[in-house]
Amino acid sequence: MSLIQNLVDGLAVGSVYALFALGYTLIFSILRIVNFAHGAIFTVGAYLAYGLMGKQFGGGDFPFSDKRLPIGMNFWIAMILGALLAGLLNVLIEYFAFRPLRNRGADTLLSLVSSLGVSLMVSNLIQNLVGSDPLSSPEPLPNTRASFDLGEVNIQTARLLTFGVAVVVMSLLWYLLNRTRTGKALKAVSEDSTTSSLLGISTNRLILFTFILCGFLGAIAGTMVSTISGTSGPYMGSQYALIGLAVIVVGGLGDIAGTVIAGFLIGILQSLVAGVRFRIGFWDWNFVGSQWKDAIPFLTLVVVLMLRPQGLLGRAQIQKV
Amino acid sequence: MSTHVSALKVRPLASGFGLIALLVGFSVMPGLSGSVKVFMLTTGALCSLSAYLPLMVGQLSLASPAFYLIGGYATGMISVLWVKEDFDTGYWTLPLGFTKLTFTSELYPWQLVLLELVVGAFVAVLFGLLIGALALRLQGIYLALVTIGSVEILRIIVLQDQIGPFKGPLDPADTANTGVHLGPFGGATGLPGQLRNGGMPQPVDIDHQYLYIVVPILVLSAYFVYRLERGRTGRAFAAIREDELAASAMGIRPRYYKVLAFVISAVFASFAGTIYAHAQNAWSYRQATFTLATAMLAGAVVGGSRTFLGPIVGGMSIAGLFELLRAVAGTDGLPSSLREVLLNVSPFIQGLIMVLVCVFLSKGLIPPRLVEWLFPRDGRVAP
Amino acid sequence: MSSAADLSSSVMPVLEARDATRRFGGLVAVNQVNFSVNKGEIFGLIGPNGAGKTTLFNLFTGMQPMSDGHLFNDGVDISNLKPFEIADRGMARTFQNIRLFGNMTALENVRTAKHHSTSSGLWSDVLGLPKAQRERKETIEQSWELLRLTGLMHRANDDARSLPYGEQRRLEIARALSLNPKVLLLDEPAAGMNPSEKVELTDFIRFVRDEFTLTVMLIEHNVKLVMSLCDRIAVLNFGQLIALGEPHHVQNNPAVIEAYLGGEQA
Repeated sequence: MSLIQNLVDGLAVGSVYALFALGYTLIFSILRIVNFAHGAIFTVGAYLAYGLMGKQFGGGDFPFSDKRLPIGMNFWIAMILGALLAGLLNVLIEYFAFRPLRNRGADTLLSLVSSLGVSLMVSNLIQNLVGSDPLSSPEPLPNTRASFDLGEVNIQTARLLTFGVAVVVMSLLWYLLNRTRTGKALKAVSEDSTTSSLLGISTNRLILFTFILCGFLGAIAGTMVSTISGTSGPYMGSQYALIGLAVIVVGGLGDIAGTVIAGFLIGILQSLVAGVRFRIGFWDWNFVGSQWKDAIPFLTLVVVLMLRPQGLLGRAQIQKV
Repeated sequence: MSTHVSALKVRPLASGFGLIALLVGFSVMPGLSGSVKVFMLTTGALCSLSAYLPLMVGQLSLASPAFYLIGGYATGMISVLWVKEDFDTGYWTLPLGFTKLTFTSELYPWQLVLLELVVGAFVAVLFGLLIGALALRLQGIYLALVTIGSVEILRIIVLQDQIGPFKGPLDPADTANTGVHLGPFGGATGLPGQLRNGGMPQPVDIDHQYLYIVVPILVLSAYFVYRLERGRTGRAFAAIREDELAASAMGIRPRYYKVLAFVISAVFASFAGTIYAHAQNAWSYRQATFTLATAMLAGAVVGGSRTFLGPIVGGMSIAGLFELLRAVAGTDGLPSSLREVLLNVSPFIQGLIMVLVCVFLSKGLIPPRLVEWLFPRDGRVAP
Repeated sequence: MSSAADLSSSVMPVLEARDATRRFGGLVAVNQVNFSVNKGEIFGLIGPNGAGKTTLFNLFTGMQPMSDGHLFNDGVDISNLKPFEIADRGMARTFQNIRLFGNMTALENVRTAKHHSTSSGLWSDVLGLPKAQRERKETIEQSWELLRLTGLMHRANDDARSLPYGEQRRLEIARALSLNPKVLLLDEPAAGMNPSEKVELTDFIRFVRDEFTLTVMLIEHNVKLVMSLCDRIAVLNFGQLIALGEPHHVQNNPAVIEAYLGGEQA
């Protein structure tokens, strides 16, 4: 495989990482907590899109086994509607698992554990409703899994679509944050939490809006990943939940531009490493990059934190005494 | 030594013996299988104690599964790859280069289990120091994420077919002798995999005899943490947790104590791994999942992360939740659908408990006041 | 012991700032400040808000790095030592916005600061070796004694955060004294106190200075309190030292009057 091929593959994966991790970032920037349930929302998105398209769920002895919803939506409508519903689920999570803790001014450890709890609940709920058989994902266009050649580079349609969707959604997000009133308020609060009260922004409404937005981003990422990989299972989000964490830290917790850059960086690095194979003659060691692919997000995380503890674009924080 | 016996001196002793009696009672309690009890005490109680130690200095660490993994691999590598067993004589031999140690017991010798505990703890401590070195620079969520990353990296390392010149044992399934190696840590199948029939060598006859190993280790660990909490080191820990800057202004070295907490944490989790690897007969990278990290942390927080008793009770509860639900599902007269649900919802219930405890019971199931009453702090009365 | 006698006999200042400078980006919070504090003095640091008083305290206690210049304690360069190294040298401080160990009892707060004067390690603690036992007994006695001196005995077993404001301030001083310091740095000890409490505090600080033979440096807003309490005063404005001397001299210094009037007009 050529370098360019790896770069192109990495762009698609990286765009999903960025999209997904933005959901972590926005909540962190507003509330200073990491919402571990974001990985579960990712899964919920993929399943909702699947269900809303009216496709049949897997076999077994579960409430939704071998059933289908009596609606059959177009892929794109199902994805967006599913993402909105995932956003509403996120609102419930905020209402029950985060808000009581925030009102009490509880330790951040508790909100973290609380969100871990929610994450377990949601994935287990999916498993108990539709079973854990992997579902073969719907195709947005006929022959999505096919690919075509562009010069020497082979491009899979699903990856191209994913990249396109991610770029469109991120552009919309950029517009939202920079051109709309609510978005600007969100950005203002995320950059300095003390300004919110000065600007007279209703923080609770803004927080609800943020949770909807983050649910939306996570769910879109989930749907697109299931489109690339072709399957979805109740625990598909857990791996992304961890990679997403690496992405946001590399990007400098709470930094929106940093998150996007870090998402692409990690996606591309992973793809580049996967193509590397070399032999260290002295040790007779075959280095096979694809075996180390999964370690890349975390190795990047460790390296970045060693060199720049505040993240790629982050600024050092001064502690008040 | 004062001969004066006050209630404040008798009560901790009585409480201590009471807790040990409860633990022994739990060990001989019918209804739960030995392997479940061992699981609750190792992967539950010991590992939650491990997750609790960094919390004592206000550090949120999810690295315990890494230490646990190391402990288990110490068992696998020593008992399967290093120790040779002679099936005719039933001897166990530990080759030591120029010499060797031979044990003539039929069961896997306890001395070697001790060796595994020590080696596992040693390696885990080295790994803990490595993460601790990072921890010096990081706080809060950053540290939590690095510890998650460290577990993932360790998982990937033990999966490798080859690390540098190390290839590990030959694959016994490779009958054509093409030179396929399993990897230095047994690769994806882990240890012992195909390398030994019947899994890990067993130091005991039946599962529940593992309790003879676990219960003393847990009691000693609990006592250790209890004494630690009440002593000079524990006060330094607590001060750092409360306010690191004020603590350092009082002459406490935060870095030293943070690393110390990591090191002790590493020892406890590696003990749990060493024992549980024997008890469940096999070990692989799958033992250290993020779910497990969640459960360990949840054990500490649900039980209560301000005293040593909280993580032990919380860890055992979280680890035993599935069994508890199964016991409930086993009661007569339940509709089969409900039974089915009960058997499948333990992660859901665990998650729900985590949320409810955080929202309504921020101090956890074991209130610090109770522990304070059971084990009164010294110096409460003016001299 | 009389502080005047000490003053004449001591050659080396207890604390000394030599061109002490601290910059935050473009802002110079402390700008080439020079002064020295003599043994047994109660030394006041005053100035309008944002004058750099707390920053200077943080430099002295190792909580912020110096940008330039040097700080000395008993002639030893202490610039850029870590906070715990400063504590080891016998310099204890309190904080402007009280930083007690909130979830620990008052007694435990004071005991915690005994950390540096004891040395029993983890194992002697856990095993209850004689040394740890002895240290435990001693620290308990000393801590109770400090609570007695600060009038907090009735609060010994209450959580620090549950104490009323004034008692928290006193507990913070007790905790600082528990280090057996030679120098005590108090950051706005009278903040939030009513006039009668302030008088009490003035007496208390003098008492503590004499009882423990301390040198005291304190930050205070309240000019009246500073004038009555301090032997000497340094006035900071916009990070610069604008006056230094005995209270009545400083009081009439035009630059000081200007700084305070200017501060009020702004």
